Parts: sequence; structure tokens; C-alpha cells
Amino acid sequence: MKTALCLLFLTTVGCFDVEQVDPCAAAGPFLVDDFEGADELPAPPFGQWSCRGFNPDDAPEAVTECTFTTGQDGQGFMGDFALQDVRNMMQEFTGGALRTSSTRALDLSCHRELLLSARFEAGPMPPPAGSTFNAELTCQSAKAGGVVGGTSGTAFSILRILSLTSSWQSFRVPLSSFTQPSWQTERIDGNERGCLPLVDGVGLQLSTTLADGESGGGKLFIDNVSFE
Amino acid sequence: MSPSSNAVSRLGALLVAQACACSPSTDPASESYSRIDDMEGEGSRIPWQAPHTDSGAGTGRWQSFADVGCASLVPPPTSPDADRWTFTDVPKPYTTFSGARSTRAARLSTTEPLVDTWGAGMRFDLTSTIDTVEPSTEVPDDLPCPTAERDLSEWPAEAVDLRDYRGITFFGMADAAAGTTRVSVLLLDRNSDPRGGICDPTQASPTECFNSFAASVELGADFKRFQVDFSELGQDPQWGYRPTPNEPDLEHVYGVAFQVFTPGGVCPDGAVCPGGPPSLTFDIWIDDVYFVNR
Repeated sequence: MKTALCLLFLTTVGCFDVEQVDPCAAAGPFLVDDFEGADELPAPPFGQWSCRGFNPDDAPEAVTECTFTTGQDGQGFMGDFALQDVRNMMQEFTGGALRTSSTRALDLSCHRELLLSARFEAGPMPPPAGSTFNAELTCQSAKAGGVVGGTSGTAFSILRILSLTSSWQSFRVPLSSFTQPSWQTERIDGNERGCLPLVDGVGLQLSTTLADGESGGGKLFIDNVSFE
Repeated sequence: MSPSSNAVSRLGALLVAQACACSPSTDPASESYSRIDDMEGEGSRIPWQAPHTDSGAGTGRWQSFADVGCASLVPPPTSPDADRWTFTDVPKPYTTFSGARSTRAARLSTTEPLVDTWGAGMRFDLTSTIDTVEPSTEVPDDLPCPTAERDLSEWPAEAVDLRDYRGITFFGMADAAAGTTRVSVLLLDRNSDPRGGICDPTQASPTECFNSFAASVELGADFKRFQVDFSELGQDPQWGYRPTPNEPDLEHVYGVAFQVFTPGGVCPDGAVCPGGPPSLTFDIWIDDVYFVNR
């Protein structure tokens, strides 16, 4: 009888011991866009692709062309950027970006890598040495010090430098390798990992080291964007 | 994105649910229905009366909604002081349930493209605690749009227990020449409607409202019947408040919406989008909306 009770107890305890749930079990591959669909739209919740200049922001003249074009395989997406650092005795690190955004936060904390293909075709005035290409994840609802955007109201993001050439290359970028840019003076709560549950944009940017008043740019291409 | 994408498999459950609702339904004799609205009456209020209400709420009413271009929406959005809802004569009367002839339907259309917005829709609440809203045909060119948050908070209502029903059925059609023909049917339950006090109406909040359990249907050129079982409804798995278990709260439902989404959504401020900012046009008809009894 004692043995039976003991066995019953052990069996019961055992049942509770094996009750473990993997919170990431449902996080399968997520194809953001392979640019092959007739609708030319990324997967929900992402909205349509766009091209934008930054530093200065909201400068549509920085974008001379924004279009779907030949990609790595089939169709891809391209932005042609004519960037100019504003002549004001300061270097603004002007740049351009291809991006798809969502008004909804996407939880990528269970994903490990961003996959994308990209290339850069320098314009007549190429960006100077020291310019960088970055994969970018934005997380505008991330908090710093418990406040969305921090006290400075920053639209937080995390970046990872990529080495682009004029030929198509495929990149597999660990999400753990993304870092918050140094110009964002307030750190995201939870550091870079604090951005991953709140991703609302993915893109590719050219950040130049154009000197004060200098111009430069080129065509940035992207294709086959996914998370695994 | 291509149809063979991994995203499709990831969203499989939702898409399967939507696919189930995409085909016009047959009319099995074994099912019984409860009429919500056949659109043959006058005014914007639905005939369906909730069997039990604590507050003595009256019947709900139809209205349209959008965030931009509301003077271009027909019928335009109702406000608490001006009921602008109207039903429209169908192009050709047709037979619906039990041999009934339908002569009118709920029609929502655009006279100008709605630019750079998520979409638009029409909905009915199941109850309303606002007794009277004066009918109005006045449509100012700058008619303010009801934002989702303000729109719903302006329409106090009592949630209704729909557990006696297993789904909703309706007739629908759309003019493909006018634009988008895909319509999402949304159940506005306590977990997704800000009036339920559970989710957060703040945009981009991790527990944001408005991620209603839904299924989408592709409307054709002629009226056909569609049936959506509540068990088929799915929530977008990637944003907003997601209840556990992840299913609609049928015990507390405020209303039903028929929404049209802009393909591609909006172009971000300061950005250039290929082909210019996305726009939305449509001409959709919804008729003879019934609950499917259990």
C-alpha cells in the first residue's frame, strides 16, 4: 500500500515536472518581403516600402527615384539617393534609407536572425570613405527610463553595419548583433534586446560621412527580407 | 510578397480561417437564423433586440467610419448630433432567405480616393444607450472624421451575450471597377473594443485595442451569401491586445464591423513611396445580416 501511494505521488509529481511551455515555439520563419507578389506589399503588419532621406529629415529631394526594379532574383526594391550635407559649418551625417514600417509593434524576441540581400551602386559622386550601410530595426514604442521614447522623445532603433558592394550579397544577421546607435543618448530599457519585442520597422540605410556642404549618393537595392 | 512565402505558413491558422469564410455558403435547411437586419426598414437602427440588457439599452445603429476624407464616404459618418446613415436600393431586387425579396442594402462607397489611410468601414452596434440622433443630409466638405477611439467612446453601448449563436451570415457584393473588393468582418468584443475597458486605445500600445477577431471575404459582382462561424475568426497575431485563450469573448460583444483595408497602408511622413501615397476606393454592399443559431 505504501509503495502504491509512493508511486502515485511520484507519478503525480512527475506530471507537473514535465509541464513546460516554450514561449518561442510558435515563432517560425517570417518572410517580410521577397518582392515577387503582384501587390508589391510586404507581409502584414508591415506597410508599403518607402524611401527617405535623413539629416535633414523630411527632405523628399534627397530621393530621386523610389521604385521596384530588378532584384537578386526576380523583383527587388531600389532607392536612388542624392544626398547633400547642409552647408552650415556642421557635419550632419546625412543619409538615406529603404524601409517598411508598421503602426503596430512586432514581437521579434523569439527570432534569431534578419536575412536580407542588398547591393549599392554608387552615383557620379559616391559617398566618401567611412560611410556605412546599416540594417535597421526601429522600435518607436520602446521605453527609456520607463518612458516611451525616453525624455528626449527619441524614435529608438538598433543597427548593424553591413558591407555592401555593387553585386548582390545575401546577409544573415544575428539579431543579437544589433546595437543602439551612439547618437541616441538615452539607452533603451533592457538595452538592445528591449527593442526586439517592439519592432515597428525594418530597413536598410546608407549613413554618409559627407563633409559640410558636400554631396554624394547612389542607388541602394534590397531583396528577400525575412526573420528566422 | 509571393503566395509561397513563409509568412503565409506562419499566418496559416488565420488564413485558413479566412479561407473558410471566403466562399459563398450554401443554405442548409438544417440551420436556423436570427435576423439582425434585412435593411428593408427605415432609419439606421437595427431591428435585432438584445434579449437581456442590464441598462435597458435600445437597439444599435449602423454607421460608417474612416480617419480621412469622410466627406468622400457614402454614406458619411454619423455623429451624435447628425445621423447620416442611409440604406440604398439594390440595382435589381433579388431573393434572399426563405424566398424573401431584398430591395435595399447597406452600401458603402467612395466618391474620391481615401489617401494614405488604413481603410474605412461600416458597422452596427448591437445596443445603444443613445435614444435619438437626428437624421441629417448635410455633409460639410470638411466633415470631421471619427477617429476610432473617439468614434467608439461617443457611442455608449452595452455588451451583449452571443453564446446562443455560432456565427453570422450575410449577403454581399462589390463593384470591382470601383476598387477593393475584399471585406473583413470583425466582431467587436470586450477585448478589442475600448468600451470594454480591457485594451488600450493608444495607438501602437502593446495592448492596443481594435485588433478584433475577424475573417475576410472576397465579394463578387452579384449578391451572394457568406457565412462566418465565430470559431473561424482569427486575430492578427502580431499586434495589440491578444486575450488568453485567443478567441473572441462571445459573452461580451458590442457590435459587428465590415471593413475595407488600404492595400499597403500609409506612406510614412517625409518619405517617398513607389507610385506615390497609397489610396483606397471601393463600392461594397452588405445585405440581410443574420445570426446563425446554435
